[in-house]
Amino acid sequence: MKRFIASTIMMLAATLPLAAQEMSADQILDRVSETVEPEQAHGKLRMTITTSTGEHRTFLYETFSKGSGDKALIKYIEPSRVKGQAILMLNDANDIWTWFPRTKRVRKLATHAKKQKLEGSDFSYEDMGGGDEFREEFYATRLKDERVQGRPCYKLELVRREGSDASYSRILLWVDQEQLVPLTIHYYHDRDPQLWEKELVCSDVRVVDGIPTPFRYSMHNQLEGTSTSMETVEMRYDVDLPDDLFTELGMQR
Amino acid sequence: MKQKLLRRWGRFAARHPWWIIGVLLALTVVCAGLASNLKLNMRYADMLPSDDPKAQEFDRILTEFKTASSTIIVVQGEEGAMKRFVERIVPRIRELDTLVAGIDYRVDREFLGNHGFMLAEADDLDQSVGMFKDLSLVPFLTQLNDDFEQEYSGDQEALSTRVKEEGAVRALDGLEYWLRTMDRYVAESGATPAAVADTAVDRLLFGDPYFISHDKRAMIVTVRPTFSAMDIDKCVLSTRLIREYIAEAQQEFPDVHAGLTGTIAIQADEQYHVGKDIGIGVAVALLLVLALFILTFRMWASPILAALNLLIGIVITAGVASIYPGRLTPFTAMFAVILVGLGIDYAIHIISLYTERRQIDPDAATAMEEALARSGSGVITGALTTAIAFAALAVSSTLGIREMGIVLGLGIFTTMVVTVVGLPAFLSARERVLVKLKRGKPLKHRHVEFSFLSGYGRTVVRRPWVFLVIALVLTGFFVYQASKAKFDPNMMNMEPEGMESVVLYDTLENAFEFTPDFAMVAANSIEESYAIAESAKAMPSFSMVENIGDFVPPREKQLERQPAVRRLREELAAQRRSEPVTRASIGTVVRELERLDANIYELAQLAYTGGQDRVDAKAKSIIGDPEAEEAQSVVLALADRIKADPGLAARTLGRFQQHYWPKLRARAMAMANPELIELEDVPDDIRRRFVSESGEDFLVTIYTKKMIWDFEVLRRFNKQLDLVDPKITGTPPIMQRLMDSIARDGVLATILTILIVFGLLWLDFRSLRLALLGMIPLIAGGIWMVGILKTFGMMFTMLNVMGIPMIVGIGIDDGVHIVHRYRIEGFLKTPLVLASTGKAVLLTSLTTIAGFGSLMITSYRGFISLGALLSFGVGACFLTTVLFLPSIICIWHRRKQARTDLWYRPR
Repeated sequence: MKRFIASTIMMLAATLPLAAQEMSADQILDRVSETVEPEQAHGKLRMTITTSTGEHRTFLYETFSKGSGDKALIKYIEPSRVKGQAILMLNDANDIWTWFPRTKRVRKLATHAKKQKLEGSDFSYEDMGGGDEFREEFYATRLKDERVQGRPCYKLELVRREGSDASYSRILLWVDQEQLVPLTIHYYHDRDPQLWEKELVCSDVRVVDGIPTPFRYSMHNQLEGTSTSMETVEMRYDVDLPDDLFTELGMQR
Repeated sequence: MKQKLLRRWGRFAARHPWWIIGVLLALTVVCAGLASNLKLNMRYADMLPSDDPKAQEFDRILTEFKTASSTIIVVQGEEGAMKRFVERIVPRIRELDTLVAGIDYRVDREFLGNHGFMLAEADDLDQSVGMFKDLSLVPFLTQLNDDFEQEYSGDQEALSTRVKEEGAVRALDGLEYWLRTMDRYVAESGATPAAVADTAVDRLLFGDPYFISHDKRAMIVTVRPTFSAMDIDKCVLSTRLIREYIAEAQQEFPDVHAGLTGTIAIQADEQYHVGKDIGIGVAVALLLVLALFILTFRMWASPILAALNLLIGIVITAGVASIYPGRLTPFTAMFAVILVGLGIDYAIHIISLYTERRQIDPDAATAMEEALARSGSGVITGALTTAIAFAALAVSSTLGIREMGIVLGLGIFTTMVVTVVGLPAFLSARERVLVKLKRGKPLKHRHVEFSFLSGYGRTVVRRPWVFLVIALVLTGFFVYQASKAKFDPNMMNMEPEGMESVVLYDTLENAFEFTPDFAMVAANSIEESYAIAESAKAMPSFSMVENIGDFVPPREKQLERQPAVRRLREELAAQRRSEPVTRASIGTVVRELERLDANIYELAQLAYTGGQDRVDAKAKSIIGDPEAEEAQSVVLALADRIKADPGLAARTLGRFQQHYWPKLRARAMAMANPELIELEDVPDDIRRRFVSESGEDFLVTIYTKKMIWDFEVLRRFNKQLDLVDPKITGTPPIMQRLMDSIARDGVLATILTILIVFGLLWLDFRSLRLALLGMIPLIAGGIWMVGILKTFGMMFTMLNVMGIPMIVGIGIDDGVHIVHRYRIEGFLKTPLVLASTGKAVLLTSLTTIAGFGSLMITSYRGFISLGALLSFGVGACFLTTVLFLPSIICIWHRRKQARTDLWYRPR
């Protein structure tokens, strides 16, 4: 009997990675969506940007998101000059507002601003999206697995669907096989699928409320030679955020 | 056979020296005449293969669009002084009408004044219609606020590109001037002249007319030439004259600093510096070499004759080079210095043996015969090996490398022939003259020995393994160091330190965010130029794109704009009079000013979080620093001044309105010209910048955001250029192609040179083992050279990288001479070989180092790097020769002692 149990466990152990290996590109993307787009999140992020005169500027934000990223609110904590300033993004960042505490005014920044840079960084609002976008806007193909940051990864190639308005013609994605978190993403230029535009490296993956979460992101723009680093200071997924947080009044609170 | 011929020549030269000298001098005079036609050409585009499409296109554009290259005058100082200085120098420079086609230093207000709104984007025009609906102060301020919110606070994308950032700063600058003018009217209680309001209108509509930096500390004036940048003489002349005018004007403006940069100025400066460097380099090299020669041989006349002989060789080489390739480039400019370093070696070998033989042989003819027989073979083999190794570079498709191979190969061959042919004649003639002067008394012949070399030889014989291990350990260390050697792609680091035209590159990049290293493409039609410009504007690495479309927008765009421009014109035409500023409306003025302050604050905040520092700085200059407690807002200060005396404010602002209203209306009406702009409407000087003389080509110029002198930046920029249009040329694509082609041809040339040298050695020694033995110090010396370069913290440059194939041809000599002498004396005679040939090899290495080292006192840093690398290489090859060869030969000899020495064939 003991031998039977042992051999069953061994068989199961052998079949588990096999099942994982046989996952299709779309199945992997589905799993990625689950990890990168949790239903609700609340945390603190630190981001360093390079300004137009080559200076480095660091911001600390408090972030709230709900509806798997459909609604997001960013509140500046540091530096003091922007403390209390807030950005509200609704409809997957298609509508963006800003609140200025000194003038006590809310301004609508733009509509359809997804392709724009996120606060002078090398991230665009679109880059902050995740798995769903990948599934909707691209055809995915699984390539030969590779190791990234010393970990076995699925390598996926995403090619933009005809008629899609995604900003990238092609994306290469390395997804950690164990945690199903993208560790590296290569974005290719809108007009040339061979012109490598940006590289996102996610590292320091920790499990928060059961969800593997990269605590460090680094986006390098290959064409402009600029980089933006983002660091997760705190993150929680086990939260219940009220809907009215994602309103003009919520920004001001 | 070779030795027989040499003996015969030695005897002939000793008997008929004056004939030989006469023929040589006649040839020298002819070649000197030819050499005077030799031109210096430092253009990198001319170094590329002649069939390179980018180089061809580059030259075609420079010929078709003479204004494509320009001289940029960078002025620095206080704003007012700079502007007066520029106004002072521009008319003077314009007088140079044979050299100057035009000068750009202010915005062409006439053209903008007549077509300004047709040049604006359709979206912006819609806003402008609202803003100019009522030019009276109160509604104008209200509408300004509405538009302001929409333009900057409402659309983040408006700040996302450099051009838009520029636009935002210019608009804020005009607004600041307008607000300060309002403040002046109120403060001066109505005494302000109308001209002040006139200027405010211009600043609001057009911004600062001068090309001035955001911080108002630097200005640029672009002088467009009548000649192509390929006309070096005119580049030099125009640069000199413009500098003279600037120097003259600077006496009146001591606090203003001005200098020249741009392609033309850089070319002119290079000509000056390289020309000076050639003279200094040759003079210093000759002096050093002579000093070494005189000190070691302790004689005067022979070294001077050797130097004279060398100069003849250099002049003949220059004469032949004037026929082909007909020019000197960065790769060949220093050929004379290199020949001094190398060519003197042949004389050293001959004089060294001649003085030795003069102690032994009874007469000069016999001594010369013996000296040539013993040294000539080594000299000829060494020189031919070097010359052929250099000549092998001629197979390169890169013109720069090819010409370097030809000129240096020819030079080595010529100096060797002149030395073998002429030096015996000079030495014999000298002896005859001295004998005559001393009336038949015998001459003293000094023979100098380096006893430490024979002592070293004896030590090597005793402990060959020790020296071999030392040599191997050092080689291992230098292999490690060499593996870390890097290439410096920054061409500016090759230019002389502190050269004005290069230093100002940084000023341009910092103050104006552009560099003169732009890319260009000539479109075949105006439509193609539009498409290329549109595509280029989408690229993230590009700082600015200029084309005729900036003045004649595409027809469909003009048609799209036309209705809004018409509407605007109608709105303006409908305004017959202004609405007076009253005590009742002054409250609205204050509220609008406070609203404006809030708008500018929000813009500053968005610019701050978006990293748009220039917009942030400009906004802060108006509303004060949000972080500073004592910050003064120009807008709120004006509002306070109005609130302090509303009655006075209503009167003075009413006067301001009376002054500005008719002018603003008239100018805006003129700008709102709905006529479609045709190419013919564009002023000639603007058209010439973008349309070729034939009218068939349309120039698009693309500027990079960052200096291209970083491989990554260069490749990124060029990658994007290719994406826009593969035929785009200009400095960035040319430089990358040159670097790529030098890397490719350099590797091929090095491999080919090594193979040729090895083949020649094999042929000369008729022994594979001896040929391989001769190669060991060369290969090790090459590795040491690169390792030493890295150890000294230096990098490869585009010029000194050519030192690698060069050292193959140069460094082989030491091994050749030593192995030759071993073959003559026997492989047991290490102390003798080192004492005699070792001495000559040491001296030749020192003189070569002295020659190459003299490059290090020149100003052109490219030559300094080449001189340093070659000096390291020559020193390294000498050390590897005396470390490796004797120790290996001794070890081999010990192992083969019992048997017949297979290598040794006594002669």
